[in-house]
Amino acid sequence: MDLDFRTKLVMTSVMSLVLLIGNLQERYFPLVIAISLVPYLLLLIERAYRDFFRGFVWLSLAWLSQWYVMTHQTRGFLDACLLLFTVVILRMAPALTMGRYSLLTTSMSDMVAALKGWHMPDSLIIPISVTFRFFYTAKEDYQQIKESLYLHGFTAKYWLKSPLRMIEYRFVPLLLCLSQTADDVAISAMTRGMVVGEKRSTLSTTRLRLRDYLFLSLMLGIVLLDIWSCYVST
Amino acid sequence: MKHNFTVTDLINAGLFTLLIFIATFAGAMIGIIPIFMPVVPFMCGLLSGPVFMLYSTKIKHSGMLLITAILLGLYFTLSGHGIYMLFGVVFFALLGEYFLKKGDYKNNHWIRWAYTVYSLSSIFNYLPLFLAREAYANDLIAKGYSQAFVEQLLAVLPAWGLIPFSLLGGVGAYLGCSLGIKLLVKHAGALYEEK
Repeated sequence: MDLDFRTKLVMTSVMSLVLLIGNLQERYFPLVIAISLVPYLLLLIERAYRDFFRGFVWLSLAWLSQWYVMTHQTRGFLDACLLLFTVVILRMAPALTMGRYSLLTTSMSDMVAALKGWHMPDSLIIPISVTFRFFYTAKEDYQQIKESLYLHGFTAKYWLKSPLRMIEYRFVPLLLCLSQTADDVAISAMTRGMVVGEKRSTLSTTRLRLRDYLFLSLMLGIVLLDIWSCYVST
Repeated sequence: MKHNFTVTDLINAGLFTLLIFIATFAGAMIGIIPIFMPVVPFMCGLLSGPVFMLYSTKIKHSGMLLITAILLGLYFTLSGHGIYMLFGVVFFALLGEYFLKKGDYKNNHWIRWAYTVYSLSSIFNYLPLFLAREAYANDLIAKGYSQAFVEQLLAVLPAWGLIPFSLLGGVGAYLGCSLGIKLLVKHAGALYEEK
């Protein structure tokens, strides 16, 4: 299913809003479950089985432990912590999964074109696209730094000996290496003719289609229901 | 505001926003254990301070801290901290911009204060927790936990703690920035001489 990035963004924020501080949990519990399952279904449709499976395991673990704490009326401090933990996971996981889905299925040019559709200024769009692009680079560089530390004999044992030094040895190379990369990316962007404030051409054909409007109206309905159940029908 | 950003500025802003976000996130991980909740802003400031000091070597004119702040606010909003986070962050970022301007974007002393002031915006990160506090307590009582126990649990996060904890975050940021200056002088002396 090919959704516009704007729809995905709205869905992510509505989910995090409704599930995290929502008032729907008490009265419309089946609806909440239905909303929570939407991102997982979308992942299935995209055939991202690994992400689907991982998310599902987390969700069911949280559910099981919550059920366990609820049924066994032990009231230790640890139980309450576990309960808080499960509540956080149950409420945050769907929104995070939705965010993951948005990032997995949107190409950078589609994203920039979609944000342009909202008339966002360039000085925000460029940093946003750079940020998403660098997630992967940062991870990769960090992995390589870890490997080279390992080759130099800084194994996990060293963490116990001098943790501060270990943090420094990982942190500093990563920072300097990435700031070097940022310069490279800036130069490559300039050679491709990127100028702030100028209109750019795009290959992306993204636009709001019927299914986008369908999802958007669904989200609007959920938000309205949330507000209504909180303020009007008390 | 004039559009005086170059592409290099914007790319640096994007990259360092990501790095500050990662550092903040790493610091916030400690909050998974509820007892450590009060020191979360402190850890965040301590870890993201060095990153900001490196970022500050790339800041040449006004508005970059503001861009970073808006992006961070957007991420926090999307991850469910509530929309007021965005406004709070912008407010403190403007204060930070003032301090940066005072040091003409290269005085370490003022850069450090700018980030310290900016990091006070963690007060808005805490807000939902405090807003949801009552609801969470009622929830627990309804689920069969005793009143005394819930009170003991919430004592970890007293309502008056909002301001001191955030101030602690400022202290963390100050220390983090000092640490950052030390690290940069030690490791990147050529790129960065003490000003």
